[in-house]
Amino acid sequence: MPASEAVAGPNAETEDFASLPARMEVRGLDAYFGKTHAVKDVSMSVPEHRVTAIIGPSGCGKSTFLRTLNRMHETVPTARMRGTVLLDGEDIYAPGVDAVSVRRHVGMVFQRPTAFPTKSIRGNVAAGLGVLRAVGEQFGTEERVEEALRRAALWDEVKDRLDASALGLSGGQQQRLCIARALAMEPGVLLLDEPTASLDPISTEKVEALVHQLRSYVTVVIVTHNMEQAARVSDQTAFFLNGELVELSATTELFTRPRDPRTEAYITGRFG
Amino acid sequence: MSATLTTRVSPRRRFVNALMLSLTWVAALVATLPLLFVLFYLLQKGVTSISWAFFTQLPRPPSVPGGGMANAIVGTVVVVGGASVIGVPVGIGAGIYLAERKGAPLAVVVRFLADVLNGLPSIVMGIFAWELVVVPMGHFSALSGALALGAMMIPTVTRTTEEMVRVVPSTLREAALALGYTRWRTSLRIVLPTALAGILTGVLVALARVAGETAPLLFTVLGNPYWSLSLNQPISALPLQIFSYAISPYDDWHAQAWAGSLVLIAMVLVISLLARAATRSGFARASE
Amino acid sequence: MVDEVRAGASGETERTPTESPRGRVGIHGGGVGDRVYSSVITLFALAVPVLLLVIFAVVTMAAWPALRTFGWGFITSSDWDPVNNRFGAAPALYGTLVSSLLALILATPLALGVAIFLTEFAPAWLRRPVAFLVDLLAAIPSVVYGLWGIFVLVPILRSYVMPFLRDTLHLGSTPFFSGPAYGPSMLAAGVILAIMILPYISAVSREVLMAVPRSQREAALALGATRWEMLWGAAIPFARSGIAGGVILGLGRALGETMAVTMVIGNRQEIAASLFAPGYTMASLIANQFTEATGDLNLSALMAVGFVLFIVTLVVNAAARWLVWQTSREVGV
Repeated sequence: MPASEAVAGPNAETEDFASLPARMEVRGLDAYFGKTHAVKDVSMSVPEHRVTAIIGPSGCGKSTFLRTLNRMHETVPTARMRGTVLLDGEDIYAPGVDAVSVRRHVGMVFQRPTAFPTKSIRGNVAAGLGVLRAVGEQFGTEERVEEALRRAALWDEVKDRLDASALGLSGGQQQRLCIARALAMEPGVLLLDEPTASLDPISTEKVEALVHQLRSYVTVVIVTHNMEQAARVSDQTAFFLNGELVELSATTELFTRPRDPRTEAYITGRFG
Repeated sequence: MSATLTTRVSPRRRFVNALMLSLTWVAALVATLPLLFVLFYLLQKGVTSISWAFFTQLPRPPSVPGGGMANAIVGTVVVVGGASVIGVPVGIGAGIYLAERKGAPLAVVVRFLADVLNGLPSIVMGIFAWELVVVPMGHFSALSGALALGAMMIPTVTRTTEEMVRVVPSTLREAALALGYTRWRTSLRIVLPTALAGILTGVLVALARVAGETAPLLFTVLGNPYWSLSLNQPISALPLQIFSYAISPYDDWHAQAWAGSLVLIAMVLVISLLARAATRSGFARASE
Repeated sequence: MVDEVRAGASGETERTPTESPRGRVGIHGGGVGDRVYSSVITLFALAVPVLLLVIFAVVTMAAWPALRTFGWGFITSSDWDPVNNRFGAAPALYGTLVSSLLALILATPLALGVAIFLTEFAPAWLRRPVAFLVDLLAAIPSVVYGLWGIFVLVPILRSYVMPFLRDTLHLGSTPFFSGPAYGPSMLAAGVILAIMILPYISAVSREVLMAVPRSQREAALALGATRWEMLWGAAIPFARSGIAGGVILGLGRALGETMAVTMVIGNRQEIAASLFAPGYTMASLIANQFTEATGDLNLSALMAVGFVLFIVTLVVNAAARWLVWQTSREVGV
C-alpha cells in the first residue's frame, strides 16, 4: 500500500476534486429492483485517497448505489443494473468479470457489526485471506492481521486475546473488527454503509476518527443518514434524492454554499 | 349507580367456571400420571434385575442364571450408527437446500413430503427395508435395519437443519460475500458452522427417537444371540430383545426385559440431555 | 448463469431510454464451485421425494399379488387362512380404526385439558415441569409401553377396571362391554394408545392456543365473560382447526403404532363388538404374522395389509397437516 502523499485534511476548501485521480468512476448507472427504479442515471467520480460521503433521506437510493460499487446489488433476486463502473479504469461489470473477484478489491462494512460468531478475533480478521491465497497472493497471515487491526485502531485492545471469540467484543469493537477484516484484504476502495448507525456515541466517535485516518490506505465511500457525520469525516459529499444524484461537491461547499435548492432544503432540515 | 355495575356473575356461571378450572387441573394430573406410573414400575422392576452381568453377558436360555443383553446394547449402537450414516447427511443436505431455496417449488414439495415421511408407520419402513435389502440379499442384516432407521431420521434432521440455517442472520452471509467469498463457501464455511449447534441437537433428537424403535427391526435385523458387529449379518438390538423377552413365558426373561427397558430409557434420556446441552451452548454463543 | 452482455464495454456511456432495461440478472453464477454445491444440495433434497416414491413402489409391488388375487374383498373378508391361501384384513382394519378411535376419545379431552391448563390456569412455576412431563410421554419407546402394558395395565384392567365397567356401571348389558374379560383387549390397546398420543395432541393444542391473539381473548373478557366462557366461546373456536389438526395428527400416530398394541391387544383375528375382546390391528397383524408367513401369497397378503396401512396413514396425516397449516394462516403466524 503506497504511503499517501501530503493528504489535505477534510473540508479543505482549496482542493480541486476534478483534478485528483479517480479511483472509481461511475457513468450512467441505473439500478432496479424488479420494476422499481432505485438509482437513476448517476455519474460521479470517486477520488483516490479521499473520503466521499453520500447523504440523502431514507429511500433515496444511496445504499443501493453503494452496493453497485462492489457488485453486491446483484445478490438480491430481481436486482438489475445498467451503466458503467470503472475501478482503476476497468469496468467491473464487463462480461467475463467475476463479481467475486471485484469484491476482493472493493471492501464493504455494513450497518450492523457482522463478526463471524464461530471464529476468533484473529479468525475474523483473517477470514478473507483464504480467498486471496486461492488466487496466488502470498503473505504472512499474522502480519496482515496485525496490520489490519492497527489500521482499524483495534490492535491495542485485542492484541492479548486474538484467539478469544469475537463475540466477546463490544458493539463498537466488533464494528472496528469488521473494518479490520475488510482492510486485511488490502482493498483499494472501502465502502461503509452507515457504519455507525447501530453504535453508541463513543464508539461512533472512534469510528469517525478512524475513517479520517483510513484515507492514507484506501479510498473511502461512506453512506450516512447523519449530515453532521458527513460534514465531519468527508472530503467530498454527494446528495442523493429519489435515486438521482442531485449535487456533488467538496463537503464544505455542499454544506455552506449548496448549488441546488433541493440540497439546501435537505441540509437545512426542511425534509428528512 | 347503574344497575349494570352491581350485576354480578350468576352463581351458575361462576360454578361452571370453577368446575372447568378444576377439571383442567385434573386433566393435568391425569396426564402426568402415566409417565410417573411407567417410570416407577420401570425403576422398581428394572433396578433389581440390573447387574454387571446384564451389561457384559450374552443372552442365556431361561432359568440359566447370569444372562445379559450386552450384545443387544452393542447391536443398538451399531444399527443406530449405521442409520446416522444414511440419515444425517441426507437430512442436513436437504435441510440446507430448504433453507437456501425457501420458496422454490421443489422446496415446497420436499418440505411437505418430509412431513409425510415423518408420519409413516415404522412398520411400513420395516417392510420397505425388508423388500429392498433383505430379500435381494437373501438374509437379514444390520444394514437393512440401518436403512429403515436412517430413513426415519431424515425428516427430523431436515426440519431442524432448515430452521437452524434460516436463523443465521442474512447479514452474516452478506458480510462473507462482501469479502469475496463465493456462495458455496459462504454456506459451508460461515453459515453452516454458525448453525452447527442447533443442527447437532436435531441429529441427537432423531437418534433418540430411532434408538427406541422396534417394529422396523423385526424383519430386518432379526436379532442375534451372539456377538456381532457385522452389517451383513443379523444383529441383536435392545428394543428387539426387550420385545422377545417380554412376550416370552419365562419370569427371569421378563425381569431382563425390565432391565433392558431401563437401560433403553436411560440411553434415550442421555441422548436427549446431550441434545439440550448442545442447544444451550450453541444459543449462548450465537445470541451474544 | 448467462450474463446478458451489455454493449459498450469500452467505457462509453450507452443509453437507450426507449428500450426496456436489459441489466444483468441477479444471483451471479459464481463459477464451478457454486454450481457443484447447488447440485449437491439439490440432490440431497431430491432424496426425500425419491425415497418416498421408492417406499411406495416397493410396498405396492410386494402387495400386488395379494391385492390382485383378492381385490376389494381383501378388506372385507375376515378369513386369515394360510393353509387354504385365503386372506382378509377386515378384522385388522376394524381393529385399527376402533382402537385408534377409542384412543382419540380418551386422549383428546385430556390433551385439551392439559393444553388449557398450561396456557391459562397453571401457575408459572408449574408450567415447565408439567409441560416437560407431558412431552416426555412421547419419548418413551413403544416397546417399553408394551412391556408396562403387559405386566401392569392389563392386570389392572382385568382385575379392577373391567369389572367396574361391567358390573358397577352396569355397562355389561351393552354389547360393548360384554363377554369374558381376560385382559388383553381392544380396551387395553385403546388406553395405551391414548397415553401415547396424548403428548402430540397436547403439544399442537398448546401451540395453537398460545397463538390466539390477545385481542380476541380480551374482547371476550371485556364483554363480561368468565375465564372459561372466554376459552370455550372465543379462544378454542379460534384455534379450532389447529386443534382438529392436532387431533388428526394423534390419530395418524395411533393408526401406525405397532409394538405397544401388539403386546396388549391379544392378537386375535376376529371382529367383536365388545371392547373387552381381543382383536387385531393392521400393524400388529404384520408384526405378529410375519415370522409365521408360509408361502408367497401369505407374505404378499401381509405386504398388502402394510399397503392399506400406508394409504390410510398417508391420507390422515395429509389432512392433519393441512388443518394445522390452515390455522397458522388464519392467525397470520
